[in-house]
Amino acid sequence: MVPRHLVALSSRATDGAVSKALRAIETALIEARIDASLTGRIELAMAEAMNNVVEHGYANRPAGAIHVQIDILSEAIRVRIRDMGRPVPDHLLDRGAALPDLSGSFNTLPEGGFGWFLIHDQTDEIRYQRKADENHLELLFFRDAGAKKE
Amino acid sequence: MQLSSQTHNETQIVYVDAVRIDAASAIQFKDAMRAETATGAQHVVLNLSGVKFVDSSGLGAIVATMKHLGDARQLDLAGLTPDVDKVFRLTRMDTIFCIHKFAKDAVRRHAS
Repeated sequence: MVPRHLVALSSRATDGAVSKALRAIETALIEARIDASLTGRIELAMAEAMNNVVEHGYANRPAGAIHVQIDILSEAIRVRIRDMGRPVPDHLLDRGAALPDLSGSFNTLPEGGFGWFLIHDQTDEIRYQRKADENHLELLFFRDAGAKKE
Repeated sequence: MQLSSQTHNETQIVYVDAVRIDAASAIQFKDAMRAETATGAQHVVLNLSGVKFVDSSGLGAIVATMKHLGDARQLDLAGLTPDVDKVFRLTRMDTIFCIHKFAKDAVRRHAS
């Protein structure tokens, strides 16, 4: 099966522009009849990855661009996210990124730090390359794994 | 961020009239919740039945709201849609909040 382009878009790296891009992506996934649970996984993982680019990749720099491409392959949905921000630290790319500790008192409950944990949980495969000052992040979602993941 | 409230006995039910609580709206949500709960109700139930998507920033904003209410006041959640419920379960935040299927269940349980 020849990969079918589903989405190709570029977004400014701001919270508002990313939110708008994600709504367009959700619509495209629904129109392509990707099932609701898989659409939910893709949208959550992409939201966390793109929010990270805004918050960390381009932190203290002028807001750059985020380029997104989604292809439907025979066995997977492939998401490619490319940006010109700072490199992603290696330890975040390891599977098993830790969940923040919830055991402390009420006042110390974490309000963040869930992003990479959720990206790992929701994707079946993650590939990352730093090439020519660009981050290339590829997220794969196997189409038959819908029953295993939520 | 549009919120609306109904109060039953001691319980204030806050309905979130937004489809997403995400990085773009998390701060607005926090500010709107502070204003909405300035009434001082002891028991606040966040009715999320209209919300289809929460990311980790939205989750953080809900946690921040609970902290802002303080130890003496309680924040429960109700009406979680499937993708929102998933985020609470995966992050184990479902062990921190009391989560009701319907907002009206929270009123009944609290009264008894």
